[in-house]
Amino acid sequence: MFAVALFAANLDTISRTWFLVPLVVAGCLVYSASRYEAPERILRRAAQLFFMAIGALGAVLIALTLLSYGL
Amino acid sequence: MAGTHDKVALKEPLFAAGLAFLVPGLGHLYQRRFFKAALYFVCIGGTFLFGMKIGHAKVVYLNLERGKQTWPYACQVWAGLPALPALFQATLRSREALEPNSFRQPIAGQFTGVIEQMGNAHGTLVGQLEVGQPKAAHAIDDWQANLKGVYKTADGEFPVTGRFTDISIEPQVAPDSERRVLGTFEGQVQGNPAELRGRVEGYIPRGLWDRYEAPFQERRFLDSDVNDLDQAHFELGTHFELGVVYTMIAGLLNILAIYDALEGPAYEDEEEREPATPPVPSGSPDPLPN
Repeated sequence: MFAVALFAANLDTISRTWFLVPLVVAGCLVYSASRYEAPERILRRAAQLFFMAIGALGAVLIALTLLSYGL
Repeated sequence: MAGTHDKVALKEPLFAAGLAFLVPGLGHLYQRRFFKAALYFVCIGGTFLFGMKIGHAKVVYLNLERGKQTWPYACQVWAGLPALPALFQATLRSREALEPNSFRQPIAGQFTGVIEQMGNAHGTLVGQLEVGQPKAAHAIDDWQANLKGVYKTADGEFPVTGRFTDISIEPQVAPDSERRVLGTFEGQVQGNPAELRGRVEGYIPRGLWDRYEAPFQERRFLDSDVNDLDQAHFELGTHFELGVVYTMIAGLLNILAIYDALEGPAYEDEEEREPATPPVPSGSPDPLPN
């Protein structure tokens, strides 16, 4: 749904940060699908991986924001 | 050779891998792994298409010229059929097709442009442009470029016929939907005895095959120093880089899908073992006797 909305949206008005989300979703799903065969397991592992990746990227974003604070 | 795998029937793995390379998910469809086929097709195909969309279909191209090679294509090519035309555009096109003011066959197309006199725009020319075959590839003076159409001004629309002199035209193959035409037009407007004459800048359409994943060029006109890469960065800004990254990642993800079609899922054994809280056989001795 999110990807469909992104396809239809006026991309010039969207922050570049949001372009990351569908990429992470696709990456997590494909990676998990290449590891496992059962659909439930693929989706569950992909969800876990997604939250880990977003968490890690969010931590980097926060660290960079703090480091650049006041610059 | 039929593939043998503990659990998944891979049929002919090499054939499936070939299909998976051509279209993400097609190899899995052949292996009747429908969920994965849909997942790979949507995720990888969607990522590639989205990259093409934000990059205005200019982010996948191949340049083999020494020192100017496009390394991102080494990743993009794994997306299969949607990325392969770049390879053909870079290797099978004739040199003439990539050069301005150079062609081998007559050009005909719907022209739209503005005519100026002394630097002031005074009308629009719309009509059928036909450029005759030159005697030699670069002999611009031999070209016969005629236009028959309509001359539009604030006073109305008038039929016009005429010809171009000193015409300059972009290459046949370039990554844009419009092929730029510059020149001087001399023509006759119906019902007006005075000759219509002025500098014209306009476009004729460029076909899909002539623009899809066409290689970027150093210059479109003989007297121009603007190259396609600078132009793409100017038009698209950071969306150009984002499009390149999206299409590269789509290609890299398809490598995982190809390998999955060839060898099956990497952790399947673990998957089978995992639910295994090992059954304790009845009557077995207590593992931790007191």
